[in-house]
Amino acid sequence: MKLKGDTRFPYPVLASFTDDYPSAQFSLDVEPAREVPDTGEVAIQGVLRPGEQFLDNALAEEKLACGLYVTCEHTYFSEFLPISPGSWKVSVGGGNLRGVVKLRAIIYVAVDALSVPAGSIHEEFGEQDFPLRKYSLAGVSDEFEFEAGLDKLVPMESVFRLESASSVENGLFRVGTDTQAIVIQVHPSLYESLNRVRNSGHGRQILLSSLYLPCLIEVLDVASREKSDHLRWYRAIESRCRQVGVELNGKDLLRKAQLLLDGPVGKVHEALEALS
Amino acid sequence: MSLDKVLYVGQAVADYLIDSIDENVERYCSEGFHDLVEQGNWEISTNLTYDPGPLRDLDTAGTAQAEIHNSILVWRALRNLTPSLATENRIWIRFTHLECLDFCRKRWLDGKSGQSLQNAIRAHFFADTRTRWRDDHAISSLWWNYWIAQRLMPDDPERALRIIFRSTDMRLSTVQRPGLFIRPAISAGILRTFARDEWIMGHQDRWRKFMTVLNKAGAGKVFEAMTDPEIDQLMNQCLDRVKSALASS
Repeated sequence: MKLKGDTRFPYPVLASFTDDYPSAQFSLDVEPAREVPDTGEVAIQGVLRPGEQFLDNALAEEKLACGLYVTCEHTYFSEFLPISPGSWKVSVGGGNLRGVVKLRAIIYVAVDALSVPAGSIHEEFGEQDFPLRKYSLAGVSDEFEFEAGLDKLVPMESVFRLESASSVENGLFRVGTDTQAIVIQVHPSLYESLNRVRNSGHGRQILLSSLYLPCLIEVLDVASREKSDHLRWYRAIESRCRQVGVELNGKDLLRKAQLLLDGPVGKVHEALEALS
Repeated sequence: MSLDKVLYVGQAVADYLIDSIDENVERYCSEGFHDLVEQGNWEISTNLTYDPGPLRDLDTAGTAQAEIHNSILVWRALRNLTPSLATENRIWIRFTHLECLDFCRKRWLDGKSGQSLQNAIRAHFFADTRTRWRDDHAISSLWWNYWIAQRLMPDDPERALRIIFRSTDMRLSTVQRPGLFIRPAISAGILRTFARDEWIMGHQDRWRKFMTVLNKAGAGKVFEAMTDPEIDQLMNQCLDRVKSALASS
């Protein structure tokens, strides 16, 4: 009963991954969800167009109906919200969603029996009209994902912890990834200097490219080799990667690290402007 | 009833506690964490309140009955929590390390030593992943039990709890299979069926077979559009099939 992206059914189902309705121009667009920070309410809107004459007519005649599955495994939230064909908008009350939220729109048969004309569907379903029973799935969209909650707004550098360690040669730094935060160890004298830079107005922006960027490149490499859900830094980076559309596969690390830190070298420019 | 603020620990405290279980074993087993609390960052306030009273009556027995009783108590104490806040590790860390430390210690640490003690601390005192806050954490898993139960049987959540805790295997087959059980139209229908005909809960083979039959019968069906009587009818058909299949085997 799970709906997966590649589930096949022994009857025609409109989907991007089937050719059951050969002339359909099926489209579902979902606009990025908007969250009201004070209440946590999440608004989701989009446009659903089957783009196939029989299905369009059956929807208009309410022989078919549409709905949106909103699922968030973190909060055990799963709701099926009725939507209308064409433009639709739904909202989920505050406090219900956190982490990855999955959206999938469906079309289903809303009358006791519906006969799909043979001319609308793929020839493999035979030359006769194809009967669909009530509550059968008639169309399914691709799955859309977004990240709910305020975690995504936490600055990336909050997963790092700067530590003073006399065993590190002055001028160098060491990165540790076995703990909840990523530990950056530096010699005590450098630790003092870095702390002063960090606490001086725009100094943080300079550290993003000079310290956090190379660390993050190393961390992305480590994260691609082993899934470490039990570590906070790993979950934070995995979540941020999902948010900016980056895969944790150990490739193209320099570009990905810059994306995750939101172009840190550009921030040096901003910092200099502020200082001058 | 006097209400307290729901508090949570700072991120640095949460990180330190998870990273330093071995250093703190004595604190977990006997000394407590009050000396660390005095160092600060343990009392960040939310705008929610809770009733600490019910938490004092938590039962340390590891029985299903105690689990049901405790789920009800935790819900009574913390009914104001939202699901998104109930995923917050730093809130649950505060409860296991301070307010509910005695209960957590007796329930989960008594009789353990060495690595198994440290593993128990990691599993039951921290709620930093989905399975931990839903299944393992000493307090949050109780909150989630009740939350799930009242969502599936709003009129009688305690009955839902009694079904879910009929056996460990039952919880594994239901609550811990979110792919299927997360859809309330289906899972509420399953629980109504189990409540109507307790034969099915008599043996794990019966409900396992039921889930298999339901999986086939329900393929491609939009349960969410169906009425409860329609879902119940489908579930009854599945139950009949299970009974005749098992009778002939």
